[in-house]
Amino acid sequence: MAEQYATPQAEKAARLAERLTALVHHHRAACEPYRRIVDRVAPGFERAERIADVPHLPVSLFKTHELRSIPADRVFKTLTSSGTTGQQPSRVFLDRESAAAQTRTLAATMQHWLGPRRLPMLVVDTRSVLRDRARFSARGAGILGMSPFGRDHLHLLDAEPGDVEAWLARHAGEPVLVFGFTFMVWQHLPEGLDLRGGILVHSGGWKRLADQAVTREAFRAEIARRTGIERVHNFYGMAEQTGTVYVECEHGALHAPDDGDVVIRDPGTWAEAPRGEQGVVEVVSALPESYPGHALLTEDLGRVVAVDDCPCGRLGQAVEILGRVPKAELRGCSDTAGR
Amino acid sequence: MLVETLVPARGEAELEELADRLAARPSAPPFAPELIDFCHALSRALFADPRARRHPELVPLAAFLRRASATALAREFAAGAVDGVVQVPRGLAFHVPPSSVDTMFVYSLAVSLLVGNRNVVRLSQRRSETTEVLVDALNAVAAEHPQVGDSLAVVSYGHELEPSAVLSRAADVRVIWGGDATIETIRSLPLAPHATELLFGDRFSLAALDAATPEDDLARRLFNDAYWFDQMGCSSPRLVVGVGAGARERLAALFDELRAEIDRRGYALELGAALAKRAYAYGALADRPVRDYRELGNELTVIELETLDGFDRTHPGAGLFYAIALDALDELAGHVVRKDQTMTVSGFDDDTLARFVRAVNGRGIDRIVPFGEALAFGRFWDGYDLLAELTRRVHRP
Repeated sequence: MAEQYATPQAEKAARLAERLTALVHHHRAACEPYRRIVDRVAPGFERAERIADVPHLPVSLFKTHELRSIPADRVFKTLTSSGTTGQQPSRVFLDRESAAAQTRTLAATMQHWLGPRRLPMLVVDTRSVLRDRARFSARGAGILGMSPFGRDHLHLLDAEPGDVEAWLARHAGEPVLVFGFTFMVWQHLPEGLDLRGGILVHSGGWKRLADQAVTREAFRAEIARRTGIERVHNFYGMAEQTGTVYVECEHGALHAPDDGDVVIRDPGTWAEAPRGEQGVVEVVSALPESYPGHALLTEDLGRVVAVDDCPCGRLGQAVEILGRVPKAELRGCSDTAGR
Repeated sequence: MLVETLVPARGEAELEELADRLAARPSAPPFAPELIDFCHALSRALFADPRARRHPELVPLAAFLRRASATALAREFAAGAVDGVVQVPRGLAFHVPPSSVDTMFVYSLAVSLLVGNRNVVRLSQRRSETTEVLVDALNAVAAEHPQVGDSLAVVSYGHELEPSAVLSRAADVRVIWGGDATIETIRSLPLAPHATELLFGDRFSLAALDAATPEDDLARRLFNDAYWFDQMGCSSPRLVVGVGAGARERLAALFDELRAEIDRRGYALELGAALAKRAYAYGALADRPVRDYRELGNELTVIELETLDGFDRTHPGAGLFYAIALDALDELAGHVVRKDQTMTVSGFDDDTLARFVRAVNGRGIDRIVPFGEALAFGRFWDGYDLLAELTRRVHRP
């Protein structure tokens, strides 16, 4: 496996633009709804010079439309993500090859952060979120995606009295991996567990903590206080681009992986925003072949915080995610008295 | 059952008592002077409120309530009388207005009040600043005109059905505005056997222009029609039909002018609405027979269609226009459905429009008005004559 985060941005962007160009043509040929959209929003598209030139889809389109670049009988699994409550879930269709590519790519990224050895893994959740393998929830998919990077898994919220102590005793003196959704970790990771030398990986969005005015620094300090863990890595990613994750370094920057990148777009002009300016996050990934999810405009706000110059030494772009675009409340006749 | 009251004073009330009291109040004769005075005072209170300047949709409402327009309505009402028949109020009207076209509850209330009915209005608990301005104005005027003020009430409660059930039983006429689900829910609550009901469901509206007879100022008027309620009013045009030779070019020019008008007015869309609209638009590109697609900034998206076959009228609001060029207005007639409410028009002669209405023959479209008047409220709405529906006729020898 090639060394991660070692390619300068200019070289990486040129490689990705070429790969994404090929994916545009692949999906135009394989997915009729995608072709109809791209032929209108990027008529005559031939080649993207820059990543920002690649036509993108709004990520919520996967909630309203069935977008597949493989025949229905080759669908090996369907990822779903509910996003906000009350909405249709996204549906992402994978064949065996795409599923394998996601796993492989995620492994390359995570091994960079966790090391080559699988660590004893404490999951801050229950096993029940994994049921029904045909239709994963975002939480289930996250846990399932991370599980191969650990061993001797203990699901904290299923633990009987004594289980945690026994598990800790088995792994005394070893570094452990703790994984969970950010708000689950905040709510359920108990005080007084001695996990010194361990690594916490968490994801799932900061919204519920931001509502309680918990900053990144306060989160890290609280985790250290409860468990002694000093290495905390948030990661950002979405079910529509599973496998392509943005992991937080020790300086708080989320680093784009080798096979993915971000374009921060100015919400007025939709052109690429200058470094450091807030805009809407577009994520691109070299992976999606079974569905046209290689360039997606998210509903998140963010900004670029480093280009080849993060103090941690990793190359490429790194971003900060600044929360979701607030849902708009339009007025209207159809708005019912029931609400 | 205790509910929040907003008018004639903010506070709480036992709903059954409130309904009994309103039911027992005397009714005034249609267009009695004190009723016209009340509406005129409400108009003045709205024009005087400094907060109202931020809400341009209050201006036509305040104009509608003025003595001059109420008197004109009174004349139309009198002219509609038949010899030997006396027009009288129905009694107690129960209004369920749409929770977010903020001004609609006052239009509904005012017409009913002017013909002499007592009124109770249900508002949701999520209220805009416009609604608060309207409630304050109603309270100020009700305090000065207690005779009329005591015959009306505005109450507020959530989605529970019990209060609506109480008010439905007490009502002589029920007026429901809203989406199909609201109408179905409220409609299931029994009315008194003699009571009647007016239903204003979710509607779709369009504009049509004759390319051969260009009119000035269309973009400004289309802006007012479409953007005042973020294109979410039932009467806000969402499809623009160009008719005749050169229709495509006329439509393209109109949308360019509309873009300039949007800039002139300083209208901007919230980012969330822009993203939701774009997601909807991309979906439409995937599903629909699209001939051309234009994004003229966040506030204006135009999807030109090849055909209206299968056009299902879903729409996100927020400045998205479907457009189509047709050879003749007659071609549109075959595509009109029941959901279609208002057609704003430009350039057609009376005969053409009369022929069109006859060709559609009631399958849809309840109002045809010039560009710029889509949101102007009138006695004829959704196929009803409100003056007639809100009164009874007494035959005398």
